[in-house]
Amino acid sequence: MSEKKPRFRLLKAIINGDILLLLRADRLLPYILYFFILGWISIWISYKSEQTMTIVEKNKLELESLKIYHAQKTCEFVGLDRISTIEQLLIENNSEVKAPEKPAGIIK
Amino acid sequence: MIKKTTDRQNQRASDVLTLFHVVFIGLAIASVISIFITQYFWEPDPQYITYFQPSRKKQDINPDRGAIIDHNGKLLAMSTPMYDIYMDCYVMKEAHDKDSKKGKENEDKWIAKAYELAARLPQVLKEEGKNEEYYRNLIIDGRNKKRKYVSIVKNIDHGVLLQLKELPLFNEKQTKGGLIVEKRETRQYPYGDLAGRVIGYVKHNSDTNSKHIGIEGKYDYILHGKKGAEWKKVTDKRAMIKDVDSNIVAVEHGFDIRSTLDIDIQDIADRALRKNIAVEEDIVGGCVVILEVETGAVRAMVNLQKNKQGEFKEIFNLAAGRPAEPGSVFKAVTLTTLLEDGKVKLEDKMPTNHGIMSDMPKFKPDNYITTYEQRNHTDKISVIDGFKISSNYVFRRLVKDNYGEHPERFIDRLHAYNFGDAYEFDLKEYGFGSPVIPDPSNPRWTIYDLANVSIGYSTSVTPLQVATFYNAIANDGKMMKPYVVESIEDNGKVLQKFEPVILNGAICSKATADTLTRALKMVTLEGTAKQLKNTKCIVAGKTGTSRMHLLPEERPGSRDPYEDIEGRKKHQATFVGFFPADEPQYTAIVVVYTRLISHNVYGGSIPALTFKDIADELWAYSPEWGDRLKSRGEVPQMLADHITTGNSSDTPIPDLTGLGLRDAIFAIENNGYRCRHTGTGHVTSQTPSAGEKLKKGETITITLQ
Repeated sequence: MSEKKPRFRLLKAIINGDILLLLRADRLLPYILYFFILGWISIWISYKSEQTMTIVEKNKLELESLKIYHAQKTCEFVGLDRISTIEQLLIENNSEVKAPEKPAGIIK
Repeated sequence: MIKKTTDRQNQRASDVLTLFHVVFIGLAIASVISIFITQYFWEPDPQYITYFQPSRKKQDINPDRGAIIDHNGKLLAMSTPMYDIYMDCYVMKEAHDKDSKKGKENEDKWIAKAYELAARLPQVLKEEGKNEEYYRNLIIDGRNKKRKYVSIVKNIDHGVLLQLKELPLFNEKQTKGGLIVEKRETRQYPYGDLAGRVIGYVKHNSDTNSKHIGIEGKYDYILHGKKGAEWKKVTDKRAMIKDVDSNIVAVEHGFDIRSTLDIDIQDIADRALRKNIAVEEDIVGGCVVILEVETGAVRAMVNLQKNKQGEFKEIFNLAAGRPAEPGSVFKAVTLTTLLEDGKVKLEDKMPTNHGIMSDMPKFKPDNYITTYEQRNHTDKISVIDGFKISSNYVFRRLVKDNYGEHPERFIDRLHAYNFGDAYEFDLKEYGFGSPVIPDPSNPRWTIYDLANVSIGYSTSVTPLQVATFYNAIANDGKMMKPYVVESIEDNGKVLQKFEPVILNGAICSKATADTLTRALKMVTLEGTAKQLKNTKCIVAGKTGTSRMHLLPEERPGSRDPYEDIEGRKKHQATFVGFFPADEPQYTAIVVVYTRLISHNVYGGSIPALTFKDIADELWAYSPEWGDRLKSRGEVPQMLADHITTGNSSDTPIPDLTGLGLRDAIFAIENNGYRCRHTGTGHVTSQTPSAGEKLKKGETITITLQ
């Protein structure tokens, strides 16, 4: 009989909802709260980091897009930088500017 | 009694355990069968399939191919993506059809947007023959025929893509608007075909064709980079982000290659060669190499060959890969050897003998000598005069007399000049021929071989080798190895630098190099290259014309390896030299090749003229050859205080007196007038005079002194 009593009390405490009091869990409440807050912070940080990562990915795409645009424009302008092209454009625009006929003088 | 009760209890427990065992075994078998069926036979409903797929997926990251830049950092090759655009024309159609309430209305809206898209596509794409009606039919037909992958345009750049993404439907998600973008990495060459055989060509970085040529081919392992990988995961809001908890293989982008080429010099050389070979339709190709004297760096390498359409294109690296008999440009090699061995001096004289080598009767008389005899009323010719008129007789005679007994001494010299071997060159090319120098120990060797080698026959060398030799003369005897790659870089940081390599520290003494330079100057001032006399800086160089060996199929019925049965020949005409002769900075060789022709093309014509154009233009573009002006001196005071700027219609003409040209033009054009000027220096007079008024756009003439 004496062995069945604690089991019965435990079952009764579970049914009554005071199992934590029976186990004196109130002494552990600060720790429980601490772990709860830690868990909440962990989830919150994870959520925020996902949000940040989403922004990072979007920015990465935007940067990639700008990089490509810059590369293609560079390529376009480099082609115009050719001496032959410049001279051709000057002729087409009736410019008086011509290729040099002698090297530039240097002031010592 | 107690024992019986215990046995019964044990039996009962055993039965219960057996029952559990059977149940678990049954469940296990059912699970295995279920897994098998799921794996091989079961297919989930398509609308739920995404939920069965893992939320993480691996994404490969392709490396960016490194750029190729020129000596001054100008881009010669770079990778940028291009895009192919497709459209899912059937997008949302099924959803609209199923929706009995708003389906019709939504479908009408979609069609209206499609019409607007079709109207604006021609303005963005500007494709010939594709108008609004074309695009409208394409999209509407595609929708009616349930087409989900209709090609809209191919190979557009990023700028056009951004414009497309602003258009109706294309500015919506793919699942609503139907825009499908396929990105392709492509290699861009901003200067087009210029230096094509040096730079090389690849379509894109994944192009694994092993036959890539030029720098692209040779340094593919540097330019390519290494592929990376990372895992992506889906967030709660269905966005894909990098999964930082997974393994990441970092991508290694390709490194950049800095070439020794100067694209401006390349352009000048390319233009000069094209201009000069265009006037002679018998020319089928040509090449130019420009080396920097001090280092041997290749500043330009042009290789042009006529294609089937009659256009000159970079088809094969003639300069580095086509050995042939060089002709008279080799006489400088012979003369160097004679001078260095102390066999002759430039002023030494020898009998002309009407150009006949009586001890070598197979050689025809040298017509240049008979002309020289008649013109100078003499029967003797100096070595320098023989060099100036490029006499075969003089050089055959000199070599026969000085090396006839020991031809190996002469041939060994040629090997010391690196003519016998194809040295490792930092370009990849296919079909490079090997240079040939005859061997005196060969049983078929005759004294005629020695005489022929002395004038550039019976030997085979590339234009680059000839240029390398002349470069050594310009460099006081130090022979530098030509190279085209200067360094390997990572975003401007030099990872590996390729220093100039000395092939031979002294192929001859400085005195010999100086003597030869004097002889080469005489060729351009008084000899076969007189066209170069008026070059803006003094050139030292030598002409050469040689007949080319014909293939048997090019000369059916002819025994002569140099001409066909009708007496037509192919010529290789060359001019090689360096400039300015007194302080050489560049060595250049120009070679042109003819088809089978019955007349001659000489090194003193097209090649020399091409050389002149190159030297003149290079000289004009190089400030280091400009006049040195003293910073001290009386310069007219230039005060711009009295210059009134503005664009109003009543602005009087400013006083320009004392201004330099640039300031004067600025003042005139800023007031809305045009400028005409004469003279150099500072403005001394102007018409109309200051204070008067002109209509905008009219011309003010200024005189500078």
